[in-house]
Amino acid sequence: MIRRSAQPRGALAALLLTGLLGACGDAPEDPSLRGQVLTLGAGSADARAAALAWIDAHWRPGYAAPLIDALPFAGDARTRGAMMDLLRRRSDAQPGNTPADWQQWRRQAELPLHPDYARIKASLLGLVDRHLYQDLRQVEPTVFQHLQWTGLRRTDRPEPAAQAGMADAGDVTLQDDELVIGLVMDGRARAYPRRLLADHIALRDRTTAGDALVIHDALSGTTAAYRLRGDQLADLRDSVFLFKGDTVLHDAGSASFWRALDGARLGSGAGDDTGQLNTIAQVTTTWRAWRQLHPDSLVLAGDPDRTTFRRDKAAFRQYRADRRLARLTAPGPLAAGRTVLGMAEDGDALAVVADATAGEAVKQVQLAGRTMSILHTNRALRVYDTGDIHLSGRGSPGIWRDGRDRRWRQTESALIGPGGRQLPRVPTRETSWRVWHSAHPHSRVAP
Amino acid sequence: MSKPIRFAGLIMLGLIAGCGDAPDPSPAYDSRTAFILAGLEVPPEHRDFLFFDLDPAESEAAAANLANGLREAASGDEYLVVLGPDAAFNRTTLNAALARQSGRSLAGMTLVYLGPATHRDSVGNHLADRELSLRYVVYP
Repeated sequence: MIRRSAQPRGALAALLLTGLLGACGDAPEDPSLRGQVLTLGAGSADARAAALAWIDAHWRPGYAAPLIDALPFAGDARTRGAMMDLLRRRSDAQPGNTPADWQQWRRQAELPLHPDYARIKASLLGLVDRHLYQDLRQVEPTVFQHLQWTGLRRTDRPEPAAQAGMADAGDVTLQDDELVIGLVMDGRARAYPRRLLADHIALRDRTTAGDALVIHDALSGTTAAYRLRGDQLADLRDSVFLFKGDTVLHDAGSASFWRALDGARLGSGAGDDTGQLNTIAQVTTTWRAWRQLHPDSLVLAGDPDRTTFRRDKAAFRQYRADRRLARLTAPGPLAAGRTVLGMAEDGDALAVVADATAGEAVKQVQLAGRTMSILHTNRALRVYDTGDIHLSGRGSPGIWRDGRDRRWRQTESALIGPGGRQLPRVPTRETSWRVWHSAHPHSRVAP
Repeated sequence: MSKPIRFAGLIMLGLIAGCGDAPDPSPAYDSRTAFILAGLEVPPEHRDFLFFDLDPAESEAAAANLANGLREAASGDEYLVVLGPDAAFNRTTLNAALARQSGRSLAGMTLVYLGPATHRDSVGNHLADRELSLRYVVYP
């Protein structure tokens, strides 16, 4: 009798032991972490010290990532230093003394994530803007480990330019070498001085055929243009967050976030038509070069929101001047901040160094099995889907010749050849190598 | 007790003692953080909401005030926040306020309640038949 009854008792004891070991040595992640991490940013000095002591005492590997994310929000320099001391002691790493150093280390270390990580991160970002927190909670949890705060507060971020003031080219005075972003919409060429766009990051230009959303962010290096309906994403503006280093826009009306580089809704799945903006082919070139090709172009005249955008804001000046993010390294053959022209299709991706083709008129490349031609004119790069047509060089301005000496007229939407045959323009993305590589880690670089 | 069980019991005691030796501070309560956590749960379009920062020193009036607040929030589909440094007092006060509203539906209102993880189930159970929306925030 004793022997038989001892077995179940032994099993019971083993279960109890397992339970105790679980509670002591390998406890589940504590749901209190969120509040303690937030205290590091928002709490009193005493509370911050107590929160850090609690995090240290309950340390799990999954605590490192939220602690690193909390570094930019630390209540003061002393707290931030203590947080980094704790991270050094617990991770045995010495990446540096700034939040950016730790973010960089974190990307390479592939840290495990706390089960509540997305909510903790959303709460930290909610310290920047409570309005954004509600919308962040609707974003897929997997997005959060790649979200980063730029350092701008809600009140510091530029107002969206609701109505761009466009003027005829002859009515404005721009330096010949001023860089502009040029595109054609509604049959009309339009140019936007990059210097003005950088003040707003995103600018909406209303036309009779819909709106052009033109984006340029000096921090991420991303330049892009998208076509919107007049009523689509009416509140779109910079979110003050970056996703994998790229600019993120936020639309309060639809509670959605959008990536600047590819116009995709943050957290939306592949094939989601509502989660993808329509790209407009654009080019960065000099005002002189653009005006030569499009003498009747409209051009953005002056600051479109001079009255509402507070350009004297110190935080935004700091943001514009901030090179800590730009200094981050990226794998691959190029420097992180190098500007590239990117193309992606059917799982293939190619980056072209924007100034590497200077002096070359035509460069042929392959993308997803198709032959494309990069045309270099007046310091600007445009890509066309030329297939079996081999362009040999430029004739007169705006005219290209192929191997059979046929003439192809260059427009912003296509090359137009014999019999009206059209070789369509391929929309490209312009950004820094760091951002492009983050979005397309297997991208090739054009030789 | 048989010998194997005595042995296991000794190990368990040792393990418990081992756990007790480790520094194990309780999570800190900070009122500023608590306010922010509560505010995050209230949608920005709700510019006004009822807010109860419960103070054990005012225990006499707390339950009555909270009961009035619950009734007001339910009638106006409002948000009502309950927080405070003393988790046990908060829960007791909420239960007392609910008792004053016995049987009454609180449909329409949203209760944002800050408390420890260990109170989540009991608070939820107390509110189960009141038809309100509960946003339980684990804090501290």
